[in-house]
Amino acid sequence: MNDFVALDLASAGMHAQRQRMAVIAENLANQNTIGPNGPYQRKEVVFRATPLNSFDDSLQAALDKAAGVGNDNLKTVGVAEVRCDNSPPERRYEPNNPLADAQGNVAYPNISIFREMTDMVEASRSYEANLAVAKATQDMQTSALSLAQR
Amino acid sequence: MNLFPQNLTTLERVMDLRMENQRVIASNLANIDTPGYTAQRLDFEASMQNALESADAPPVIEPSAEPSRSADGNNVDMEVELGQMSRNRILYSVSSQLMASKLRQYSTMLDAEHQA
Repeated sequence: MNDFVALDLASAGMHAQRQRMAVIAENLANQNTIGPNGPYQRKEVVFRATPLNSFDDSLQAALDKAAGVGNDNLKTVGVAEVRCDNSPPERRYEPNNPLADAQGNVAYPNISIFREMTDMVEASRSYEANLAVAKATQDMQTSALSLAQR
Repeated sequence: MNLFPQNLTTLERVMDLRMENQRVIASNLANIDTPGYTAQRLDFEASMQNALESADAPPVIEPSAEPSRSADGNNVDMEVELGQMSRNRILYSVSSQLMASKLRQYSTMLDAEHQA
């Protein structure tokens, strides 16, 4: 039985949440980014559950299945896509801005700082949950290893 | 002849199932923000029952029937999973300590035999 599956799952979870955090940071950093080609577009990550399917994992799953342990229900996580949020930009009246249109409006990114902060807290909490899994798994393996000591 | 008595084998199965449960919980928590993911649950009692009848019995893992509380259809509840995980970890270490004490008893007996 592959005893590192739980750790792999936890690290996949942490990796995915960290990618999400990077996108949130990008959104926050660019909340006032405007340009001649239009404002910065808000981005968001979409996660996808995938079966554990590297060669090692598949082989191990087949062996485990034959041995009666292991199962197909375990799913790791990855970023499926980083999607652009296509909602319309926020228009602010700034007639002196060189990027203003005929009505004196400038298109700003549609980024709500509150939404990004909420997402950030959620990402950070999910990251911590996966970290807790990694720690617990490590504890369990340490207690199994201590059987070898006298 | 079976070198180790029945209770050690039972403890071994318990530890295997607890580790498998840890994997299931790890999978749930990794997918805590995955749209449409359904949490999986390992039914420990049923799995143990099967494991005692046949060593090759696969664990009983079923999708959780908990309703989803978010718009994306994901029904993983972080607090439930973390609670299950703590519980699972404590019960794992109970089994491993029981096993350690059993193994110590055997080595004491073997030492006594050796000295006699």
